[in-house]
Amino acid sequence: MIEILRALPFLTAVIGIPAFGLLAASTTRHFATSRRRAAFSVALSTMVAAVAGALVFMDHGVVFRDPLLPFLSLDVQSSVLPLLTNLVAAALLFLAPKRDLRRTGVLDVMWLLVVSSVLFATQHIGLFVLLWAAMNLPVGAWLDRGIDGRGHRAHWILAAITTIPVLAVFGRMLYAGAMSTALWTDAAPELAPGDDIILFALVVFASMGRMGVFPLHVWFPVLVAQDRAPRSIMLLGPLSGAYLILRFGALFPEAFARDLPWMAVIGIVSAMFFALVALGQKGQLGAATYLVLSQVGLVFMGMADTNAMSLNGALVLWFAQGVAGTGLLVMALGVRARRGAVLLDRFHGLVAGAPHLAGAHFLFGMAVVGLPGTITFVAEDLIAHGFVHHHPWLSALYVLVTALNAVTYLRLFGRVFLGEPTTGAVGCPDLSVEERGAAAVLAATLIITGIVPYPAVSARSRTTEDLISMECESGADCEISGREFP
Amino acid sequence: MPELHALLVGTAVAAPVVAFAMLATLIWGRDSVSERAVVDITRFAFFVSLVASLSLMTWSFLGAHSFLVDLGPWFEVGSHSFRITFLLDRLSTSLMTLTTGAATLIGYFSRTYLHGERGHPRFYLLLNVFAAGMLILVSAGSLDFLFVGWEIVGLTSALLIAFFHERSDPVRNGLRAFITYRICDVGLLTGTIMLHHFAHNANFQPELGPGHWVAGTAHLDTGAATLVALLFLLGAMGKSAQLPFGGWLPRAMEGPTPSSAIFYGALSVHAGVYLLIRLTPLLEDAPLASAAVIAVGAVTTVLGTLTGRVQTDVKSALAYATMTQIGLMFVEVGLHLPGLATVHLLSHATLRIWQLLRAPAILHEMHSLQGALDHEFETGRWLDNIERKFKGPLGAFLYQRALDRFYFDDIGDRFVVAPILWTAQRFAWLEARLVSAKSSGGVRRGPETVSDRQLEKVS
Repeated sequence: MIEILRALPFLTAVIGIPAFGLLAASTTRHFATSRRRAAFSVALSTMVAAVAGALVFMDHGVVFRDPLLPFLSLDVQSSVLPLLTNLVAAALLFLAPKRDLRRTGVLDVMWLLVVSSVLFATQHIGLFVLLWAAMNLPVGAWLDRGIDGRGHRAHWILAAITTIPVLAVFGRMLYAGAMSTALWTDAAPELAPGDDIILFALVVFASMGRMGVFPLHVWFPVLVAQDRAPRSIMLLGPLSGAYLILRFGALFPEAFARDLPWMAVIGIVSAMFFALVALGQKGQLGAATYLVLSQVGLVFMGMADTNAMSLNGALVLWFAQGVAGTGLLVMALGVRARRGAVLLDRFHGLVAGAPHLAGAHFLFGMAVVGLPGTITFVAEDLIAHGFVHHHPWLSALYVLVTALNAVTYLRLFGRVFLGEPTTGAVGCPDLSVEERGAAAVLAATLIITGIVPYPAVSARSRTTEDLISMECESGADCEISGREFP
Repeated sequence: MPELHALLVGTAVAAPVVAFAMLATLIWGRDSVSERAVVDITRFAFFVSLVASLSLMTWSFLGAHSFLVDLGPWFEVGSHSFRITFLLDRLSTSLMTLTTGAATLIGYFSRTYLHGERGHPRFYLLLNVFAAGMLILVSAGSLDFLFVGWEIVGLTSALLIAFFHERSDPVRNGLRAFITYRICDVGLLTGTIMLHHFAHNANFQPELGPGHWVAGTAHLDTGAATLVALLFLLGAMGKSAQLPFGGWLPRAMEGPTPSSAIFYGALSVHAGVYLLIRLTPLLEDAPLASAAVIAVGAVTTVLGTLTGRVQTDVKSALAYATMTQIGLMFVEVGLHLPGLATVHLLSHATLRIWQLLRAPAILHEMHSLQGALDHEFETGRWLDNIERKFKGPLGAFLYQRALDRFYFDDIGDRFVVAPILWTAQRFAWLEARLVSAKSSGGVRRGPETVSDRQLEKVS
């Protein structure tokens, strides 16, 4: 009974409130009204998700199910990840400039929020695959009836690289008769030797596409630049690609364990490549975009270890980058909306006109690169210490990437906001009072979880334990995992 | 008694953090903030912190033992626990008192010195963050926790160099300092991780020895100790402006005089020396690393002196004098004389903060004094005598090299910074080609280029 009382209201609220918000936002043609309705529902949903997360945390990660919602459950994933998705959506709806958001963007954000919330809560593999594919649909543009031709190729690239591999895996599992009840917990595919490796490789491929890992990232910078930023940030920010690996990794534990070193190498190569690309960018938006992609590469790398420290670090970094990366990108979009293309070959001095914009940009940027006191620092510390036991050279590269990203960010901040103000910089509009409030809430989330990281770290520990025990049972080298595993 | 120590050290560190939080809330919520409120909050916090630090120092000099205060884990996963521990001995409590004393002094001094400046609240905000970071750095019981303070000090240092951000040069110099810090921080962070790898711990006690000041032995073999010590040396060289990473220090004088005094006269610049003093047991097990510490210090001392002699402004001359003295401290640490290095550090910090705070008014004061006494002062006669011995080709050669700062900055720019930037630009070009090939028509060079064109179209 208690479980019903907990699961039903929260799942209904976490999924139902954004769905209602989507409906309310789509019934008006007026941008401001649409945005206001969506923002209100997201704020409400965020609070509910936070309470749900706290409840699950207090119950040490117990999974709550409800007979009325047979394919949904309330556990660590379905409480923390919707909270993250809600925070990303809130950042976009409250802080993204009108020029980038538009009504299409509002509807896209709400659609992706609803779909993601169900995706993170579902226990049904078929429903999962359906939702995974549905995330690629340009629903906002359809509802807005304002489809234009730009960016379609990038959309189709993303849809193809993320959907086709997952559909292929699902089809193969159906063919193998693996899903008697179609639930994750009961799926146990009996595959021919080697098939699991191919299927898991397809999962990793799809995940790399959604997470923006090199070389399957091209959709992200293109869509950010082509006025599709809200949709692309909603796709990247909650890092649903990482969730795909966690879910399917449980079905192919041996392949998961075997592919870990390759995943780690791909992750660090991606992070290093984007760190250098970010440093070589001429524009502020490009630099911010590639900084975020570089940090995402570190999440991918951290997931590829059997060590409790690095896995926990990766999961915490997943949350941290979702919030901080979105904040930084939204601030960079705000700079573009106010001042156009801001090139990094000279100083612009925008702080003279927009000190709060500069402050928020700095907080989010420092959170992205792991300033002590933010949750990213905790995550990076765990990943670095975790990797040193098995792969010291990867750990050294990891430290280099974080150092490079910090230099790139401070250079970016200095060039955009400091120095002699350029013409019009003094009159650059600052953040409004509402925007300051939203930025403060996001920044407070990063700082409070950074100063008191215990809840964030332990909320992830259950997932980590499941993963490590799964990998260790598959024969991966787990001798220095920090825990006793058979 | 342990509870009292925990309370005192917690109060000393928390007071500036609370003041920072209050100031940040004030500044974020309002467009203008009263100078008096900002100064009063800061002064009160520093006063509380100073009293707590003084109490701890008194206890450590009167008491018989050093003490490890463990406030519990910050976070822990598996076998890794990041614990908030403070090591309270004569070294750390002396430096805590120096930190809070200097911060209190600067808090008072800046009230009038920066009166009316646009960045007045920002200065005090950063001063609070710096004080908290420095207190963590000098009192941390482990290298993990020390790194937290180390990072905070580095960031606030760069931001205060760029305090007068309306001009481009201070910002450029702040960025240079930050880049140097980050390059060298790779050494500190990698060293800490390696210490975890070899010793499965990075606490100062018992891994690096107990004692009133610094004593004991590190439990590492010579090879591991050498590797770890060399990595820490890299970190210390960046923070303490030792050659070839010292180019940022004279440039850092672009910041306001009070921040120059507290950062580059008294505290921040000595962080590297403090780190090496703390790691003396490790250096004793690593003769090669000790030799490297001596070599770095000696070279910096000689070249810093020569360069300082040709400077034409007082703050630059003081910067090179600082670099020189810190070089001597490196030599002392390399010779395994941590006590001497500590006394040198404390006395140098107090002298230099006084000199830097007086620097803006030094000519005025000297002329007033000469007028009152009716005769001119003669200064530096013995140094002038030494200089006279170097007349001729050698003197000209050294003079020219000193003017060019022995090309260290140029070499760093040409052989480190330029290749990294070149590589980054080539990668950015490759990425632009990749994006261009995979995206719809119209994208040619990269994301910002797209937005440029769109904006042109819109406008």
